[in-house]
Amino acid sequence: MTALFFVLPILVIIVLVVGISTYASKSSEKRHSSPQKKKWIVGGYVTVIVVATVLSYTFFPAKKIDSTIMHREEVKKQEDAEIAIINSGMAGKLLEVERVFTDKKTWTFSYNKRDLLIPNNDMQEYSPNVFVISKPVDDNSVEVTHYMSKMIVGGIDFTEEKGSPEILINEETLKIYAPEPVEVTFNKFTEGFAFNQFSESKDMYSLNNLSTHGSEFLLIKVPKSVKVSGAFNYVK
Amino acid sequence: MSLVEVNSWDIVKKQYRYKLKSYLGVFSSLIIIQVLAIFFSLNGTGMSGGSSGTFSYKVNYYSGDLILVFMMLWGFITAIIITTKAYRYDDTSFVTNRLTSHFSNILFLISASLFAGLTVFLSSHLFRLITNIMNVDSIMVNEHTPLQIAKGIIGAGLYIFLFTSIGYLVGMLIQKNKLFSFFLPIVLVGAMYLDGMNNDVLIFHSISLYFLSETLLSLLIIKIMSVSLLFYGFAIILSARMEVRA
Amino acid sequence: MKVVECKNLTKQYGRVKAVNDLTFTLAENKITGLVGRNGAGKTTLLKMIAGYLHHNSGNIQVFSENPFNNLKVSANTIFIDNSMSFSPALTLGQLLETAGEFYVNWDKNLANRLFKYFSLNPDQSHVNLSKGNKSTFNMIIGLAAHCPLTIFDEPTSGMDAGTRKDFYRALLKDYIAHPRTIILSSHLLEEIEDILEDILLIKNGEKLLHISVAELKEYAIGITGKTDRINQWLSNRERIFTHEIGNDDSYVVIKNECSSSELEEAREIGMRISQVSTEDICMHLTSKSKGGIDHVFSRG
Repeated sequence: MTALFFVLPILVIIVLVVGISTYASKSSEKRHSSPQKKKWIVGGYVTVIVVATVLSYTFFPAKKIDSTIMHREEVKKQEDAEIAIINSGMAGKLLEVERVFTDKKTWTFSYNKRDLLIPNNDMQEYSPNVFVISKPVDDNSVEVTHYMSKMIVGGIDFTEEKGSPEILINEETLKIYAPEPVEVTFNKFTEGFAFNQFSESKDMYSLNNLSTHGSEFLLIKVPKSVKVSGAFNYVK
Repeated sequence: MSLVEVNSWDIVKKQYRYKLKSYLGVFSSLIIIQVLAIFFSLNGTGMSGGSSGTFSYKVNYYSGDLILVFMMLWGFITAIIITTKAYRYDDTSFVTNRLTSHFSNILFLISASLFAGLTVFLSSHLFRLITNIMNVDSIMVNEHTPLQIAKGIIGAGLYIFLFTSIGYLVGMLIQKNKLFSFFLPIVLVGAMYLDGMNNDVLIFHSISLYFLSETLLSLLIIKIMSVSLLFYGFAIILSARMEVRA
Repeated sequence: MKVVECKNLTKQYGRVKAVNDLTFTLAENKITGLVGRNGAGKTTLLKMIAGYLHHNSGNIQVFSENPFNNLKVSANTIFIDNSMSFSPALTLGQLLETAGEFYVNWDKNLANRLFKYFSLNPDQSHVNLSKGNKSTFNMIIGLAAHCPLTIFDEPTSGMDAGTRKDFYRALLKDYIAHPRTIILSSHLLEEIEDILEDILLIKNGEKLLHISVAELKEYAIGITGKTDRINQWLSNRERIFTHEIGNDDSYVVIKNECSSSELEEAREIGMRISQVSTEDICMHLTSKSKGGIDHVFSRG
């Protein structure tokens, strides 16, 4: 928007020049183009833009923004809920996860060792919270579930685009590898400020109102007898 | 031969129909300016990006803002042009008086503004189509509901109409005295300069906010109509003592 | 009913009085010729009648109303001149249709037949017409509108001789079929005197004469003879025009106020009495000086 402000005066001048010169033909006696021709031009142009609008809607349908997440309040609510759940996890008790988080991926490993190490993960770009639940029985299996809350940028749900980490158990160590980096380019289009004025998304340029990067965590369920060490929180 | 009695409103309607047919040049200039606006908008009107962990994104903004701004200027120019002799004298060849001529002009400009507002919507989709073809893989978002689009078209038409009223008044001032065509730009630029001295265009900002912050269409209609009819009224009063045709 | 009524009508442009203290009335259903030299104020007067211009002082009434910016006057008056402006976006055919919408008495049939007769192209634009064709087209609108007050200001400018004759003939025929008040301005009186009933002669914005054409024909007489004899006979009678022929002969135009015995007397002393054409009367009356253009050269 700011860039627009810099060029706007120049554009305004161009418009004035073009506008006035277009009309100047009215005052000069040489008026070559016949009324009939002008009518065709105007009619032709209107046809072109009507057809373009139809094509724009049919061939390139816009991705609908999830209306339940569109509201600023909703975004705020979700962020608060995430924090509350993560905090509760840190405190040792994981609350109603399903309302905010969805399980994106689950791994199951058969495991018959006594100890499990979850090393402190020092990857800068990826460090999810890790919660561990001790299962009531010894079933010789470790289940890892990747939970993610919604990731929304500018009102678009990118939860699907964001990948899950890679989990491997090697000997007595559970390793977490960062997911493949994902880069998304998207275009936001609006018909103009007069059209945004009467809709919820007032300012197309402020993503923050409609964005939340979401949280994620790994929930590891271990058999009753397995002793876990490393960077994690026990939860019930 | 017995005298014909005429009704002013009847004549206004006839003149309005005549103007719809005869002011064709107004619409061909609309096309030129609109195509120009699309051309200038093609680079996009903004860009932003961010990342969260291993996820990063880039957003390109494409908006019809510039098309609408250009159409507002078009409305301004059109209204000035309509106040010139070439157009005013066309009226005098048929039945007219000053008032019917003004009213039919205003009716014409309302219609032209709404038409322009509609073309803002349509041409912004031509623009959207072009950018889509240019960036095939990208996602286009931000779609309005049909009701929002209808409101937006009327809103765009209203903004254009507001500018026609300013243009009409400016045009009438210039017809009254040619010196205005020299002084008005100076006054405008000077005022903007003074307003911007404190690094912030306060007055212009609050004026535009007065309209732009209105989320109810009905209130925007009232706001814009009352302001523009004030300008038109002033223009009509100004023209009262002018000769009809020299 | 008085269609046009002016009392001490004055119109000033700066310090110049284009119309000066003009008082006259035009009665209903008459063709009046407005005659005067270039710059006499004909067009200014007509534009005031049509309601285009303000007057500065005096009073003007058209259909008993002030014509300026008056819708009723506009609906009942049509003003045809060669600077009529029509939108270039409409074709001639569409312009005729539009005129038909505006003028209640519009004679579509007449308009179409005249349009065909003068072989105008209905798909052409008004701006692209030649000067003569523009005048012809404007004239068609003026005739077919059948307005109770029809004003033609120099309607034939640019027309060729044939078209001019056709126009005057059409005007007369249409007037007879649909009597209305017509004002016709021209500086060529000869062309129009056959169809005129009255003549309003103005000079420098002032009224010189407002009489019927029949009266104008009798208005003046010409006398030719030896200069000294004429001078003697005329004594202090007012001369309208004096022209010296050779060294001692003169031609003098005077007002036709002499009794038949006075004219008899003049003939006896060798003077020839002649008729003066209306064209000449008007020319002499409106000339800048009594001697005409010759004066400029004889004193050089």
